Amino acid sequence: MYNTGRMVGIAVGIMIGLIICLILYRVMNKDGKIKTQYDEMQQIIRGKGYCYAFYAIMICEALLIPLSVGDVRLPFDNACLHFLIIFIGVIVHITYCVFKDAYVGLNTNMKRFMIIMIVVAVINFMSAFAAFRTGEMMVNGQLQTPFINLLCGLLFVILAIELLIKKTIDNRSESR
Amino acid sequence: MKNLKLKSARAAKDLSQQQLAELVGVSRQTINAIEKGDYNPTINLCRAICKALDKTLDELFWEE
Repeated sequence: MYNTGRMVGIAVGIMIGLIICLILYRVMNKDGKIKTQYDEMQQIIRGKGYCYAFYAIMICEALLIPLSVGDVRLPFDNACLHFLIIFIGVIVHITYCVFKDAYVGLNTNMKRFMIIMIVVAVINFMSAFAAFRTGEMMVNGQLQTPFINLLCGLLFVILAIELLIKKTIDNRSESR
Repeated sequence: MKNLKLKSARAAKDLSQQQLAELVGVSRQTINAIEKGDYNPTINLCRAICKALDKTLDELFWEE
């Protein structure tokens, strides 16, 4: 049985989110300062990063085929499963770019970026924690959509740790 | 192969990697990668670096 109301709700939510992002981008980026700029080496590395992320997503999807054919019950609902695969792709991309010096752009304000990262991570963790308390996180042994909030928060924590490690490596190599 | 000519030309101008990077509009890591021979720059970037260091393309990027 389909939950049409939920499907429409999520689709409308995604569309509204995209429209808001588009409007903000158009209004706030008139001087072109919001768009991150990368130099030629960074653009090449980012291209490779997208390539590896694509392979990672392909491998994950391919691994899922025998599981779904065999009706293996995974501990995630469908939405979480698809988001988990996107999450893996994003992690591959950011990890490759961070350690190859192509994640932070030429005009990136690191202080502003870190603040945004912390705020988004905290909002997502709070939302996930609230779902834990109300019991919405796991139903019948399967993680539900609030798990997506947990993954989003985790993504920013991983990114922050990677940036920190990269900075430490750079500082060490400079001091030699 | 390391680009020691670039490194010495930069040092002769008393510029740090960061300063040269800002002059030519790239990241410090890109200048570092060029000097270490890890990245092969485009002709546009080579020209920008030559202009910033008052050198010719041959002087900085031609291998004998």
